[in-house]
Amino acid sequence: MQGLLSYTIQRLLWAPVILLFVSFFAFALTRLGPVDSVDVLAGPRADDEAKDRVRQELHLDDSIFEQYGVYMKNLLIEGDFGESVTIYRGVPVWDIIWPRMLVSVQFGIVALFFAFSIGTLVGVFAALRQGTWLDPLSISSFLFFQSIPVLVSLPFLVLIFVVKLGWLPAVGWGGPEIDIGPQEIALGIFSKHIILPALVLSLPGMAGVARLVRATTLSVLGEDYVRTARAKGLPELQVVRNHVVRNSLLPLVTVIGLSLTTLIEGAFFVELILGIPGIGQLGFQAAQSRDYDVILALVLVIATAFILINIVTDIAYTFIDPRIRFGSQGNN
Amino acid sequence: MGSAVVDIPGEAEEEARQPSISPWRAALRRLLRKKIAVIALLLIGAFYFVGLFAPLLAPCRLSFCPLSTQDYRSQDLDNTLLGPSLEHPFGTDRLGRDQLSRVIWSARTTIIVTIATVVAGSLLLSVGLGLLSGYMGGKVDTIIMRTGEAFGSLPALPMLILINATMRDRVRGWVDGFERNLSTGDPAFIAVLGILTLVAIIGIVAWLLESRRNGGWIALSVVAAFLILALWGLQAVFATPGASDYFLIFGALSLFFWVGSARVIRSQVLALRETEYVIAARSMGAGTWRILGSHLLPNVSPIIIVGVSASLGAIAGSEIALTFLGVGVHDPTPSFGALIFDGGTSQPVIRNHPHLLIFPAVVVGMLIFSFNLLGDALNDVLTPKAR
Repeated sequence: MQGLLSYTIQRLLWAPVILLFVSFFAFALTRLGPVDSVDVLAGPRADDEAKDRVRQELHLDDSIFEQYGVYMKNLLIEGDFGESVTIYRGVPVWDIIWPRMLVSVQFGIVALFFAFSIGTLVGVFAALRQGTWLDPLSISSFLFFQSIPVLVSLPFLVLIFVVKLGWLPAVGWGGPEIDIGPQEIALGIFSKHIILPALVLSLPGMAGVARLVRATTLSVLGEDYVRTARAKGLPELQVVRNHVVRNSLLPLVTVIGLSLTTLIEGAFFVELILGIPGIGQLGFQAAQSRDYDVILALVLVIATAFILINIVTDIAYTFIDPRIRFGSQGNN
Repeated sequence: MGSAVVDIPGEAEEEARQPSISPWRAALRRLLRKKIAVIALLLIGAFYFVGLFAPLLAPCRLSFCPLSTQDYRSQDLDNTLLGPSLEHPFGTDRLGRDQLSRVIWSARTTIIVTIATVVAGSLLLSVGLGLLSGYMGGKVDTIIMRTGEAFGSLPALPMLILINATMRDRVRGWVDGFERNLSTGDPAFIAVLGILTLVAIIGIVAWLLESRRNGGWIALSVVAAFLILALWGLQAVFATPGASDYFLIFGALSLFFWVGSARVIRSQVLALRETEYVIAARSMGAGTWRILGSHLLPNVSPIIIVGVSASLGAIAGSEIALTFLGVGVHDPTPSFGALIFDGGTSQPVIRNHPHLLIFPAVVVGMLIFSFNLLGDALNDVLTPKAR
């Protein structure tokens, strides 16, 4: 157990280092990247004097390290991400991000659930049908759905289900509203609005999970204990359920992080095309109107979530499969 | 996978009967035996052909083009949003621009960005850093791999958006500056080219004259030739409109696309480092660069090919995604991202003019699917484990 503990500590200590690196990299980009960020901050018609005043107010003349120190101090101690400059002038960035995050998380979770549940079922089914005519069909269709980017598949789904068939609501987000402080958000889980985003976001993940499960199931099917189970006369359903599926699902833990990337990146396109007020749409607006602090905060929030989830899956996987842990020690 | 197992004895026998066949030829033969891989290769080949020869192929550069100025940019406001017809096979967009021409020129954009990113990110960065960190070990390894881990543990798209949104104007300024200083008529440019050519010739001559044929001279001339090509290429790229967008995109993409293959290459090098032939080379006094270049590089090249083919689809997809989000290539340079944005984001357009969405989206879908099919097939063919 010693190895596991030290591995966990090592991973947990590594997280703040990466976050520090990321936050500095992102911060430096927003402050040093634009030719003159004051142009945006002060508005298009500001004269030189006004620009100087803005520069002083925001401490833009200080060195980048001092600015970073101030930003991080505000962020860590007061949870203050600064204020929006162009989209919602003067509104604290966190008040803009928080409600939108809750919207994105709703269909993200549903999509993740669909991806893993349906993907697993389909993958096991495809593995059991190996060698039949279904096999090449299923392999290529998995690869197809995994390949097609969300920004290509979504307009087609809109064309079919919204425009031609009229089954789903046109655009936007709706449902019973709840109050969460800065504003009210709609619980889309209880409305038809969630179907399209969850469906389109889960497709690539579902196909990826199905491919992985198919491959691992095939290798498990060749194991001795499966043959033993069949030889002792267990019904096929029981063999599959108790001996095959249990063992072939282990590697799935590793792709949770990966499918999260797909989800976050897909959210940008889904929200933009369907007009859902989530973080993806906010990121687009912020990039368009150069509201750098909003993008910065978004990047930091997403990166933090991302790194934490990666670490949790790493540790979980080490917990499940001791070979990983010993393998990593062997390399050193 | 079952059928592959059955194939092995037959293939091995066949290869044993012809001992002269090189592993690359064998791999190519195995690849061409896969029907799906061949179809994918043909589709990708067609895409590249169309994109590279866009100036000749796009109908709005040919004499039968109905538009007066004959360009993918030329607008015809009397004929906006036309459906597909003989004159405009893919219809026209909201400014009356020929959609087929725009699709063809978008292919060119995709090609430029994918090739630049593969060369800069996948080949130079990931191969170089992967080899280095695997072979050197120790501090170098730690620094390279930790940096890679930091980049790899980030969601790429938000970072790319941030980079593109903040750096756009600055990169445009740099590129404009380069463009002014790097014109072909400039005497300094010609002098540098002349010196490089001289170096290349000296390298080749010295290599031919020397009795032991030391690899150092030929390497020198290869480097010189590479620099010449790079200078010419840069000069040509800078001269095209929208060059700064290309630079920003491929620079930002390279930052994120080297990590995966560098990691795989490193692990392979870690294993190869202890093989007899590397130890033998080292004991004969071969330097680090020689071992890396002539012993390790050839042995990791199958992995490099698999890695590159796997990342091509992702790179093409990222460029399209960034442009879709408005932080990639900008109008009037066409890109699939912009085409799909125009055709697929507003419902009235989807309802009334679906051709604006369908043609570019189908091309993009087929391209990325083909890239992935090819990557899968190459993986089967080149990775010993999968065989």
